[in-house]
Amino acid sequence: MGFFEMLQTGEKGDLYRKKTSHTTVQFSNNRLKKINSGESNRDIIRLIKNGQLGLVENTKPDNQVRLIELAREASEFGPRVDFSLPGPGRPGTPDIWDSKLEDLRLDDLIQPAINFIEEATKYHPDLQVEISARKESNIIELENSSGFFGEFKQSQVKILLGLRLIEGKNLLNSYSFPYRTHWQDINWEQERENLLQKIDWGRKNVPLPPGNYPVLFLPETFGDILHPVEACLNGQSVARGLSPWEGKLGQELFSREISFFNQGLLDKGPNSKPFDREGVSCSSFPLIEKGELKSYFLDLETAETLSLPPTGTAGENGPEINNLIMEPGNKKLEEMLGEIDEGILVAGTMGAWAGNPYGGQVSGNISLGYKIKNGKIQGRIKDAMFSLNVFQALKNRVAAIGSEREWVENMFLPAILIEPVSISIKG
Amino acid sequence: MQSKLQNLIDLSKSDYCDIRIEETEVTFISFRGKEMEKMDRKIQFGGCIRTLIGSGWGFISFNNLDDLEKKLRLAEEQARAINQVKKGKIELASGKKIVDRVFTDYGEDPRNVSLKEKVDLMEHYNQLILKTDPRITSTRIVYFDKHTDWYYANSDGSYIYQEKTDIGGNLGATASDGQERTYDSVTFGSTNDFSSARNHDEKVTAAAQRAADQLTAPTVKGGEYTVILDPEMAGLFVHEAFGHLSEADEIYEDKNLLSLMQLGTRYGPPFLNIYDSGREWGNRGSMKYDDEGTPTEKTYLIKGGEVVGHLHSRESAARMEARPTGNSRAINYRYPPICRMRTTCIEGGNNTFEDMLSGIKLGVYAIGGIGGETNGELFTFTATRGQMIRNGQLAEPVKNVTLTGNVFHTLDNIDMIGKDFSILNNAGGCGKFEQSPLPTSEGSPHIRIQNVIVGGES
Repeated sequence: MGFFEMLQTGEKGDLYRKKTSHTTVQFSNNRLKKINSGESNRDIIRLIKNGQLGLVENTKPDNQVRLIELAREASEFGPRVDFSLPGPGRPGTPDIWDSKLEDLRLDDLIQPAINFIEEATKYHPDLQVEISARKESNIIELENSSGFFGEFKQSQVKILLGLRLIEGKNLLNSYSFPYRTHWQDINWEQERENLLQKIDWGRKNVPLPPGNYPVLFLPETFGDILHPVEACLNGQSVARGLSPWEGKLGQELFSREISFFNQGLLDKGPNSKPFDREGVSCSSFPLIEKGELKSYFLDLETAETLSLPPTGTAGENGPEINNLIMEPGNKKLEEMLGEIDEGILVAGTMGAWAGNPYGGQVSGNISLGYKIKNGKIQGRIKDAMFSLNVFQALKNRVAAIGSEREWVENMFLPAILIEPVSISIKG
Repeated sequence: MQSKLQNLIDLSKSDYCDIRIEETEVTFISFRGKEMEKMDRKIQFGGCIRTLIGSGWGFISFNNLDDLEKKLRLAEEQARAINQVKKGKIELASGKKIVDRVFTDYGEDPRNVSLKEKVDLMEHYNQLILKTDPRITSTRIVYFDKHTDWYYANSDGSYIYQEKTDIGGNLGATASDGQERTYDSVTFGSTNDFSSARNHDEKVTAAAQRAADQLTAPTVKGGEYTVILDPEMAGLFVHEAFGHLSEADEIYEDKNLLSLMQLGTRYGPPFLNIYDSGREWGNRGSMKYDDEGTPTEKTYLIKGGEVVGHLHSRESAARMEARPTGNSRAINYRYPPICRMRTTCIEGGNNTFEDMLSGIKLGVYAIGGIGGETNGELFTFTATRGQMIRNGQLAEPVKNVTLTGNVFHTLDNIDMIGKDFSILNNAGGCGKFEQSPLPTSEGSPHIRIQNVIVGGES
């Protein structure tokens, strides 16, 4: 008997099934170290009874009767919910399936990594390279008691690339995490050049006194400081009164150069999909446009609480942005660098996530940063921390925004020059 | 189960092979603000096979126990693929055959506590927090318990059943005045006793009050200070800053790290002792066997200010001519075991808190740990709250206290270790590579460190 036949009168719910298979090859210290693969079948049942929701997750085969019992018991104590599940829809069809991925053999995963290492170590024989290359295929199926049924296939390629160079007591790390839907979209050569450039800039340490400086965040480190923005746009924090942007739709929060969009149907978007975890069709909409707060990202529950239409951004743990796309600016990276008399380029941060996101305050260690003098990179600064309020920074401290954007996980971001940023540094 | 696993191992054509099967049941309850947030149950069932051929490890995980032989062959194919491109042979330390069944020695078994009682208790804490102070705007209450049946067999003839229990909770308060937000919490955790979740009324009220009072505290001024870390923050420090560096799988392949972490290297004052133990029973991270079937132990990492040990798997132990320490752990069947911590501690010393205060002209007392991170050389971690120290006295409270520095210099700058050792458990866990959260706990007394960088507005 299927899940929906087992529901009793007055019960409603949905069944989410995710079937995943993956293969990962891992290199550490320049050598192939491990190959892992896995298959998993995960079912999640949400059962709503008397307005209360119980959730059960299961990976054990042939376990449905027990699952319904557990879901019913959980719903007896579960949170009160008031949303209706969506009926049949006509979701979009983004290109997120690399049909060639499943046919890739182990050797196809291994070879580009070996080439990467061979080429990278030409720069310096002591360079230690770490690589993890993962291909993943997901088949997602969602069905609910209101008649929605949908399924889609999504492929994911997740690569980790790390270079480490130790010279004397200097330990220099540089990482990137390319994350795509299609295997051929990984540009190994470009990634290698970027990482080697960061290593090359960092081999000489230079002093810098503490103080306030213009700071150029590369796309990957800009992503690190955006966490408070995402946290405050999240419908859950708005519904709970945590977000300071509750009730501020239509108000100007940031400088007019700042626009962020959610895009769910973008072809090859790392987190694009036809519909979200709850069956709501994904779409494209502005979150912040020309500095003005346009929308939050919501799931069914928070949409109901806030009396707003759902946005197709439900994840497994509450609302989740599909892909966060920022409008580019008009300066090339070299131009931005060139305009800095004395400042810092931040290529890596550490610990920038810690702290309270709702105030916008972000501080973190600059794990990889460079001093810029008269538009030129002078060398690496060490033992430094930055501290800024990202809300204030995006409001009135944006000195320039880059014209080229890069994918940083599911964010498509330019570099940004913020001035001034407070820097503490060991004297 | 025993014959099923052992029959499969007998079919293996590898140098070494092991298999784990796990069935875990999880209860998860959370409250946010006035409302219950989640009431989840999980059944996590699955297994994994790991094979070693020459220089290569293969690994496959699955939910379905059908066609196990086919899965075994796939793992062998992976191991062979590595062996073809990489010369050499991986050796494993000591292959003692162990046959054992391990059951949890419960205080109060969480499975004997009704779901209703768990929900009611968490709701009670939630209410307590909400009514503490009008400036409390939200809460973060998390409770979970997990029960795992863990079956393990390897080609050395070992077969182990281990019952594992993990309980954790976080009772947190968020305060706001419309502009600023502050947070404080009480945490608990255990591997054998639901009662760790009980009797927190007074502590919860005090934490909520602290969160509210912190609103008016200024942000700490960035700079270099003498700092005193409370046991929680010191525990976070030892875990993040030194524990991760002691994980031998990181060390043995990296000759520079190896030289930094070589046995006999001196770090810290002569009265600094650091250990990691799998036998601090009841604390998260304690267990009789790790995920390779190696018995756990108490492992000293620093004794008398000198590096004396590392955290080993069987592979790393063979590579470094050490004994396996029972630190090879996986978060679940979907991952192979890697070198991880258990309960990591700075051993108690001789100083009182007053000793530490005296002589500090200007310093920071960092209290409670929100989180931290390390990249080998650098660490950064954030305290729940802070207090300035002025002329040997505790002075005004400050917030947004984030510390950073070079691990080795910071260890050398420890100049006092307190008498007041305690082990802390919480609902979080440790992350390494893609494996998070793994249950661990940390122990320490108060410690004092000279010349630490504190981030903040300058």
